[in-house]
Amino acid sequence: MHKPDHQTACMHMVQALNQALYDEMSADETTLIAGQDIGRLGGVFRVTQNLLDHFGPNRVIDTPISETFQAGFGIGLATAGLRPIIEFQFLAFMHSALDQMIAHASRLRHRTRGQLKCPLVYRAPYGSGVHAPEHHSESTESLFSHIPGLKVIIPSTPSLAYHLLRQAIQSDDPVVFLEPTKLYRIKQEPNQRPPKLGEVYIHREGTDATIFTWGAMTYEALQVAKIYETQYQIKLMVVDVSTLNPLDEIGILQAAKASGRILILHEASAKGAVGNDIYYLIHRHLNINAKYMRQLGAPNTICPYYQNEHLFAPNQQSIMSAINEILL
Amino acid sequence: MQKMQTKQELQQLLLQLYITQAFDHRAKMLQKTGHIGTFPSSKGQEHLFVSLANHLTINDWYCPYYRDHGALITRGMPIHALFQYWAGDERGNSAIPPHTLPINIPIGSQCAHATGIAWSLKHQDAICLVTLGDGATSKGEVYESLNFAQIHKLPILFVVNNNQFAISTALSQQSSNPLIANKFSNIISTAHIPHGPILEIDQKIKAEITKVKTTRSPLLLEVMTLRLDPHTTNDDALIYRSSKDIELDNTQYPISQFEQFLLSQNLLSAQNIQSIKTSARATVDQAAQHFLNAPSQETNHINDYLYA
Repeated sequence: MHKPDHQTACMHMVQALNQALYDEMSADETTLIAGQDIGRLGGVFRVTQNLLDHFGPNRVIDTPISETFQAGFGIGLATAGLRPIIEFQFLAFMHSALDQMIAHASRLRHRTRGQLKCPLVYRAPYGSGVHAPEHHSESTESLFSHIPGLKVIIPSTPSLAYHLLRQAIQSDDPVVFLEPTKLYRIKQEPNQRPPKLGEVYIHREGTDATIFTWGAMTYEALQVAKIYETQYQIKLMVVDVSTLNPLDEIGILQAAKASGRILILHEASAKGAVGNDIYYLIHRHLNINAKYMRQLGAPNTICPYYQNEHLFAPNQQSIMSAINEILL
Repeated sequence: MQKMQTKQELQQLLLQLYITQAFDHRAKMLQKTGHIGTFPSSKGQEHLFVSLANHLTINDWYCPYYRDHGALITRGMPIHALFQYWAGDERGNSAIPPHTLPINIPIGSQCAHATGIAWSLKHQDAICLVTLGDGATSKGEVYESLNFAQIHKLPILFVVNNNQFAISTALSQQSSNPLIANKFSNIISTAHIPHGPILEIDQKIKAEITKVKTTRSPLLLEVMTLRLDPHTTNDDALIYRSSKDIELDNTQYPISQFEQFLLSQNLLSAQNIQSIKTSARATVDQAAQHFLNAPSQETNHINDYLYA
């Protein structure tokens, strides 16, 4: 087990998530985790490593390969007063569980007028860029963000992952917690202040342009922002939306106002995506000229197999082109 | 041999059956007059749901599907609230009894919830009971739930109400095996209760519930019933069934046969039976009036329960 530092210095995201699970399960005995290969193996990415030894098989449950069941099982546990964390091995395999999430988890509180609640977390790694086989690279976060009653959280650094996962477990709402696989093993500087679930997280202040992003694209945006500052003395604000549903509308509008020049950057296709909601929100409230607003995402196609996956998500070059367009 | 019920127990059971019968009847009338929406009658199956609820305690969990009116009322759900639910008013669901899930519409999905609840009961006295129709047994998540419950020996009873129809689809087109209990018998312990007199079925249900309580192990119980009304008020059974078949089934109406049994055995008098029926109807009429007279729900709270 990893030692909590303040809180995640020297950790990569997998270690930070493991630490968050350990700390939350130590603090609250109603928490338990269930998923495929999460016990002895510690999960296919080792996020749950050693938890079985610490908390035993009654709180660390290896499930059969049955994603739909896992999602519904979690709802039953939550209804009975526990706080389950359900792991899916990859986002694409969580799609078969959408029915349980839409039909039940998201609506239990609403349809019983608060008599029942559904405090649970559905965790899954997601996104491209790790040379994985087919069906392991999707960015379908917008599917979940479309569902009222679900919270959708995506961390972008080890320390945000640590704090947001703990807050997600403590939340009385069902949370879809998506972890960018590409950032799993990258160590990053600890963030200076803890994030707050439901609010945007500003990684970097700046008044020349504002980048709204999340997940693995945050890492790319921060690299680009550094280049602009050191080479051109241009300061880009990097805003990690981090809670995709419900959106922190106030935080987004405040950050957008700071520069009035906007890039919305995401790994998913823009078709029917959360990025469009952010674009529309800013446009509706701030009336920024369209020439100062850009949205950059993947093309509206299926993520290529890994030989060509580098052509799919935005990269440093395409991000810089988009920034240059709005800075003109 | 089970002991005979006392007169008082028989009267109580008859009252519960009549209340369920009157609820179905009144709900269909309210639907026809535009006061409630689509409604699934439980006619012919009232005794199943009443018996299930009677042999549980309120500490046991009950996870219904959508034909369980008799169980919900028996567990203490106010009848006017059940009318509200079927009238598209969420206030109805806010009156669900303790340890009871709200009515479940997506077929079979409640089995996974019940299995999660049963996990939480592993070290308690209570059990979890979940109901489903024969059509639901085609769903993958039902199999997934049975499999998991058996792996972990959870205290759960899956009750399949086999009324032989899933809307219009007959069991022969729905299930590879005509007996649901046989279909799953190599996954989980199963039991089968054939058609029969209400008291016999009641005692068999009691025995199976007791078995789960005693062994703390899962069981699938298939109970054969007759669906004497169409699937819902929107359905027309004459499109897919002959009127002769429907009429024949109606001659087997379990509550009518129970009345005949009580009379023929001199267990209750005709006058006694009539007075219980009158009392049940009065209870349901009063609840219907309560439902009809309640102020409309306020719409400015539509987002109040979306997030905690």
